[in-house]
Amino acid sequence: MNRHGTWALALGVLVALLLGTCLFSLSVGPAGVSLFRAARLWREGMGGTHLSIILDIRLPRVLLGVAVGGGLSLSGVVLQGLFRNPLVEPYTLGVSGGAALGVAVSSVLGLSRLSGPYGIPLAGFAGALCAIFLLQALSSKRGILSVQGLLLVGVMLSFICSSLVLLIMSISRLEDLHGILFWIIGSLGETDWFLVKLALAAMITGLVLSYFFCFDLNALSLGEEEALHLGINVERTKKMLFILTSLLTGLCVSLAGAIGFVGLVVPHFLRLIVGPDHRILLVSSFLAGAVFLIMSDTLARTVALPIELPVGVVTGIVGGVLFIYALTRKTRAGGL
Amino acid sequence: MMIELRHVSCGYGENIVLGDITVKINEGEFVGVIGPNGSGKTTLIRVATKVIKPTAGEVLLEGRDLSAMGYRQLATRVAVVGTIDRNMDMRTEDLVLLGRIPLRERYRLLDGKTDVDAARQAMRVTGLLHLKDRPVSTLSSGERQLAFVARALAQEPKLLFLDEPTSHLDIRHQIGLLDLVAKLNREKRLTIITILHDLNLASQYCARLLLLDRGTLHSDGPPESVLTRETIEKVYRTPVVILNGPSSSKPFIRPVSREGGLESD
Repeated sequence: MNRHGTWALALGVLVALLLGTCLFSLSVGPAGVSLFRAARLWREGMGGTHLSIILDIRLPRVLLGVAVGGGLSLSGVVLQGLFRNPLVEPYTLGVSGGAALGVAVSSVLGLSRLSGPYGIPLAGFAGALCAIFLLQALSSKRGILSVQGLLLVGVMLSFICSSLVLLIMSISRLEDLHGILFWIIGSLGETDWFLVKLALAAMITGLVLSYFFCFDLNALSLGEEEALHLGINVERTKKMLFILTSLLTGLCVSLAGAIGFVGLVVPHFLRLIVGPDHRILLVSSFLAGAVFLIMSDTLARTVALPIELPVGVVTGIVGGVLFIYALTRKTRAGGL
Repeated sequence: MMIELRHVSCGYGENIVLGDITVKINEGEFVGVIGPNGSGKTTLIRVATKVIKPTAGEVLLEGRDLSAMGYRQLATRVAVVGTIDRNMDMRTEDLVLLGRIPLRERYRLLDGKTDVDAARQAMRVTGLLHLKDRPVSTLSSGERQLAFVARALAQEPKLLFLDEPTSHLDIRHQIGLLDLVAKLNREKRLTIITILHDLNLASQYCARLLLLDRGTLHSDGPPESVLTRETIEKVYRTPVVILNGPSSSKPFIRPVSREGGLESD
């Protein structure tokens, strides 16, 4: 089969998988309402509560999962392509840490209560943006982003942010504490339709925009100087993609909290499956990220009923184990 | 005029590597760049391909100032085969297809027929067509180097830079690669500027040599005038004997071992 055929196949499988996952996730939950039963009751003119559980509680959750999972995974694959390092992702770059700090600060100062339901996402977004600008300012020398600098500064920024969050938590009141903790753990429980639609629209726009740079990313896989020789304006591409991924992750993190590992694990596996060409890698990482996060969330909601586990815990454990497995297997096969 | 450097100085930060280089290279020339390690050979290629900007002077490509040219525009005229040790898991054909990036229609996502044909042609010329589906990481050093030449040829350049294309290759692949480059130079009038460490290969293949010494252009001319005993001993600080080769009129350089090893300076 030629390359384009393989791509079409991979795309078809992933779309089917995403639809399947969404339907499955819509029909399981602690209320015990299945999609089929709700549909049957609805046809019979009854089942308003069933329908409302599915449409008002589960649907926004699933759509937010698509947006956040897709967005984090897309950001991961773009950043990894940009810096040619498999460990770069929003979480390791300190973006999530900055967002957490933003939420913590605004909770303690009472800002989130003043600005209504959008207070916490706004604070998270502001925190993420601060972290990104700090990161860019600290790790660029004469306007050039260096990979090692970025990673080192990012990891340190994460540590500093989490220490500051702990400091704030240790001196804050109990009711604020719960809000901060809940947010840090990460959840897809945001049910505000405006925010869910905003996230979905932003992530899909981000996916489309990333495609303007797919050849740039392919050329960059040879190295920056080689990309330059292939006619890529490397510095401009790096800046644009860095801003794009920063906005996407800022939004994801501010809506769903610090969900780690999606941006690290999903692109890694997709590279093994569909190959290193970003023309297929971008969209398939987006789809697979969505599938991975929705599955993790469904698992988190149902595995320990009636307790709902934090989804960040599930992605961390499942993703981390899978990642270590893949790495060690690859090492045995002959080097990383 | 293919490329011209006018009083070019450049370097990295405060560290000036090349000082006041002036050189003109015409279309269809085969030029070798030689000089000791650290003499600025790679930097010369980098400043001539806009990877770094000159701190003084200017670079002209086909009479046009390089600083006014976009990278994409530049990439349709100039290709570079650098020294690459990156481990790549892409297929050889996909690597060669990367050379089509500057030429492809801007918003066309999938590979068009022109691009695939050009890539196949480049692989045919370099003798790699039978390896097109093999991952680059499984190729031998010689084949990998040829794959990068094929990628550069897919760019359909007028000027080809090569940075030590024969290092790590056995003699068969060294000669094979340089014969290929010489053929392209002869038949397609592709201008070649190549860095070579092996002075005898440089002597044999290049019609003109640029000898760099600590960032300055020490001499510029045909091998017979550049590769003299006095010049080589002075620039490389190593005693040599120049022989006239049995198979050609080109000078043959033989370094002479000294007891106690290399003199330190």
